[in-house]
Amino acid sequence: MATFVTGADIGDAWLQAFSTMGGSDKGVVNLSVEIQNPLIEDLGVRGAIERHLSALRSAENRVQSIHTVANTIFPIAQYRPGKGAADRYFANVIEGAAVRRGASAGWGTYAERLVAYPSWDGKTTNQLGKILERLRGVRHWHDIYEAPIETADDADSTATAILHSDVRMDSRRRGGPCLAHLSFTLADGKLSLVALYRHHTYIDRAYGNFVGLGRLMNFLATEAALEVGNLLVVTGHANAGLSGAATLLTSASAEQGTTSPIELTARPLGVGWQDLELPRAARVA
Amino acid sequence: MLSQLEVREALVEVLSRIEGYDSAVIEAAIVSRGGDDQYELDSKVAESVIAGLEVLLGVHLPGPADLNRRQFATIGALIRLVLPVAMAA
Repeated sequence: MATFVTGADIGDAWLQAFSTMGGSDKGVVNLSVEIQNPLIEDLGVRGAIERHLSALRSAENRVQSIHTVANTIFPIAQYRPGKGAADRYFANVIEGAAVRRGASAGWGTYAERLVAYPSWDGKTTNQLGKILERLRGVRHWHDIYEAPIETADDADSTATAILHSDVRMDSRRRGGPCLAHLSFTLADGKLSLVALYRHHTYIDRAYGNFVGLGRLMNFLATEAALEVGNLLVVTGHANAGLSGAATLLTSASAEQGTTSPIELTARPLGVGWQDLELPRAARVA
Repeated sequence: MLSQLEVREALVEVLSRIEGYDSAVIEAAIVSRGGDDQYELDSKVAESVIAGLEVLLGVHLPGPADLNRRQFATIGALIRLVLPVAMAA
């Protein structure tokens, strides 16, 4: 049976979706999560998740911060609004990808696939650029803003992994890209988004992905002079993904209630993001 | 062989392009932050800076995956990372 939840903000939606899993790792099938305002988050829920991630982090379990996960969809420090901001963002993402070589490059990031989607002929397509071009040119409802993430090669990744058996292929077989498709809709001057995931782990990935998708929506809306609508995240199989789901569900529920706008652009020059990296477990109360 | 001053100038030039500001604005921000070691770089910005420096200086630099985060956390740290490679080039 499919499940649908709706939340006022990122934290509320995450918590309601996570609650459907009942504090276990069994997960749910065909989960649809609506985030009514994807530019607002809940700092209490986020804090509970990050403390949980920090406690789980070890040499063997290299979990990432919510900030790092969000950056895989929209690397926020690369976007500084102003003249030429969109083109500069596209160029920065592509340029940055050039220094991730060999196994560390993996299948890339969602951000890279959105601005340099690989084609069979070796060329790339700037999907975000094309979507933005359409959004700027068409001011009424339209449903032509599609952005696939997976390539035909990804569909064969399991078989290919057996043939190559290297870190890159192993990681693809185990995980990404889990985000398969983005579908934008423009209606009444608001840009809404449906994101399709084939698999979504909620403790370590979902909240960060929601933040990244919200930032992506804001980027397109800002650059096309539109407002941000709602976000619907549809997942084929959603589960906790890491241990301690019941504990996290209890703490996140108790701490929900402090809402705040998410950061949407680069910080002032010279100001970093270390404060959003995972706190060390020793500091967790 | 490049000097530390030349490496720093190249880094600021690349960073100014990435951020969309004149070099003078970047230099002013460095001063206001308290110097090269206080001007923090986001990891994604640092990736773009390293890639830009490789092209501008014609050198091959280690990627972030091969580095400790502290090695590219500030402008000062990045200069110390690039300088030995640039001097050997």
